[in-house]
Amino acid sequence: MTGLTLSHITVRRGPCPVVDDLSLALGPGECVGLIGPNGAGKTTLLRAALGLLPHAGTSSLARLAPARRARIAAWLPQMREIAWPVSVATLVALGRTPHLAAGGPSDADRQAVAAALDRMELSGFAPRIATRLSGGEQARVLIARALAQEAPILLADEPIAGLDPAHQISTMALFADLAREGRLVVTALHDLGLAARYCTRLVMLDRGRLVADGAPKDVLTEANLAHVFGVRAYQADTPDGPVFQPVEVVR
Amino acid sequence: MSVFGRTSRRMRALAAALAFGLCAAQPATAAPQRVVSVNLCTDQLAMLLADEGQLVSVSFLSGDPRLSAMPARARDYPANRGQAEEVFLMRPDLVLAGTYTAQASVAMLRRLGIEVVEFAPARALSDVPAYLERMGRLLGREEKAGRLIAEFEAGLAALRRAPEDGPRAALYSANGYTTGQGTLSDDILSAAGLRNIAAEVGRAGGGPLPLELLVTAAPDLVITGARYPGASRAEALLDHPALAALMADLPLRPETGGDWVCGTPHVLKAIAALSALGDALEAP
Amino acid sequence: MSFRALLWALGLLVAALFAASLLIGPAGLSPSDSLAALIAGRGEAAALVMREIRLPRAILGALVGASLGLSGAALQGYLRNPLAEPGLIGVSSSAALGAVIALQTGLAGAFALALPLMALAGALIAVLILLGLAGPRGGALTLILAGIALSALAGALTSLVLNLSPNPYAAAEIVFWMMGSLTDRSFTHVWLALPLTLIGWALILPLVRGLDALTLGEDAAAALGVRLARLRVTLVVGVAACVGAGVAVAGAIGFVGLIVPHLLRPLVGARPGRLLPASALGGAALLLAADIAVRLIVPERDLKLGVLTAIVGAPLFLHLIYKTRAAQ
Repeated sequence: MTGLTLSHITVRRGPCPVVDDLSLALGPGECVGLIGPNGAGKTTLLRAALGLLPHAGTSSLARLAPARRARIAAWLPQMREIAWPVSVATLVALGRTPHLAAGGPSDADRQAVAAALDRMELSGFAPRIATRLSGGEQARVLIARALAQEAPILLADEPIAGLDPAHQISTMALFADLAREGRLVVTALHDLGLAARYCTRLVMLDRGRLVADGAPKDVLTEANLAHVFGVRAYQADTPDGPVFQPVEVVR
Repeated sequence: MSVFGRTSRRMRALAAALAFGLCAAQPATAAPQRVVSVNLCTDQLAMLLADEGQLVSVSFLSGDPRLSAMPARARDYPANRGQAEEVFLMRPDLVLAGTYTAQASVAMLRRLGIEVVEFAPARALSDVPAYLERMGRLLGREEKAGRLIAEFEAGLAALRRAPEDGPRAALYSANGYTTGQGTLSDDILSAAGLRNIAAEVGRAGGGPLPLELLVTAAPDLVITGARYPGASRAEALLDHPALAALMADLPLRPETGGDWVCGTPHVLKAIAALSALGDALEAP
Repeated sequence: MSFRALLWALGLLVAALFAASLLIGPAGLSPSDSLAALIAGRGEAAALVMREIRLPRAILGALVGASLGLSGAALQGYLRNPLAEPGLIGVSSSAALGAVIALQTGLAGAFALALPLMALAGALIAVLILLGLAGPRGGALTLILAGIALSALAGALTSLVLNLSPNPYAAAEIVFWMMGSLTDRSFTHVWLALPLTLIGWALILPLVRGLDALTLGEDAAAALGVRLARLRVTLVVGVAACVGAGVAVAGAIGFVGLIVPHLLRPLVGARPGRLLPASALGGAALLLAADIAVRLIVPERDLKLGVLTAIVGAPLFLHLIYKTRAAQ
């Protein structure tokens, strides 16, 4: 399986670096949470890693030809766009674009779509019109689309924003499962509690720079939280796993 | 006040119209001294009849040999484009216009107190003497008009042929425009002993003739309009391959010209030229 | 109805309308005589009518209609905006300007293909200005406003060029360039339009997967392996080529690229890629039908095709604007 290596990635907007000389080596089997306050550069880093943005430094994904890269990494942008009233099955099948043979979808393609729908508990939704679903349902359809891509790497930008608690938990659990199957999942997210519970590794960014990188309990320290997020949090290990809840603003 | 002003203007326009209608019954008043013509056909009637110095200006169209039978004569006069301001500045005491002249310009000239007389387009050869007579009266040149009428009638009588079984001809100009019964062109054709296919396909007056109908009618002669410089889709139709195929079998390709357009004695030249073509077609 | 069945149905519709277009005309030939003249005629009048007048007209109707339907569907797919249409956004009128310049400068007289090529250039400039102004997402308001300005400018310049022509008929032809007509078009025009039309189709039709992927937005499409820069260039050149070629010979016929994708979208499951071939066939059918209608409604006059397509299309356009507004 494949990992993602970033070395000295810098992205500038005008003269200001939005991502500043950032290096990371992420391997298969990891579920990496990319955390940081608004404007820390999470989205920019993910897009640069895919080669969707001009950048300095090298990314193991950005170096690949687009068609090959698309078979290795799936990307779930934060903007949940569904431009046309297509069916859920059609939308999810778009994830098969990099795999499609000239003649059209193969059995493998159809199986991948069915499996992705199944995994997101959307099987009954297949014939429904995607644009007529609720926002949360659309978000899950789009995740299913990324799953159907069957890429060893999944990069996701705030995939659980706007989902109800049950679907937030099940999505994060799904990402953790994907990692256990040997894929690499990198997800930007704001919910530090879910990040602490489901990610195997957290990468904390602040103003484009890497601040901390490691196991959740090593990254979510009191000092880092105060310095980067300006909050203090309640943390505890319980029989249900780690619990993490920001409780006050310290700045 | 303004109401009266407007009314009096309207009355004046009405008076001008009535005066024109009544002229036939009344002796000619003092002939106009400064006549401006803004219409191709009144230009030519006026040039034929006016006294030395009586005609001040003719329309610019009369200098175009494709439209005018008298382009060289027309160039002796200053040309106008028929706009009220330029015509007014020529200080005319009579303006000659066509009934299709821009109505805004005619109305403006009348508001400015200038007498404007309108001539309808000629629709038959019999209009020619009538128009000569009317123009002669307007210009105070009845005698010259009488002479031209006599010449015209003698010339026409000498040329006129019976069209019973002459060659079948089609008039076909830009935009596929053809002219049938009730038009001057149609009258010219029959006077020259030609049969207009417009009658066969049920076209009277002027209007577009579908190229399909022209091709299926297979006339002996296709008389097209003279071509202008520059490109137009209207004339590009005359290059259509179907028309070219039809014309390829026809020995003669006459074009209409200035002699055809107006009801003046020049139509005799058009008739004579057509008669000669008809003879050439009939000849073995 | 499956996609394949839909394409077959549309194809049969085009074939039927093509045949009807061949059989309808003022010459009043019977269908059997028409077909005999078309297939076995030897230069007699009926053969001339069928082969040199009706056949090129029907072929051009199908070609131009397909180009307009295809271009509308492709522009809509790329901009993700159902209001994009070559006529409405000024591409057709700019192509008309290019064509008129080619004709009036004598360029087209010296080199026949200059006519469609100049129309292509006009269309290309318009598409580039539009994409530059409206941006990749093609916001409806920007697109329509930019289109109004471009149409007005191109229309004014076309009038100017025609008014300056030494030919008195040219000035009256603004109506043809603004509204479009297939009356008395010949094989000369078919041969002029055909090469660029085919090039345009060949560029646009393979964009199926790219346009499908764009349903998810630019970023997701790029991550799915779509080369957006290349897609954009291909689309722009393709639309300019086939719209330019069509306008050069038939004038600017509006609304075909709006009506057809709108009607067919539900039948292809709203997939922008599948909409391409379907709209091409639908456009051909619509224009052939409109051209038959102008001949049946007022056979004695050269009613412009754009008059009919606008009467059908403009109310639909208003409806779409209303829906777009409601969605925002």
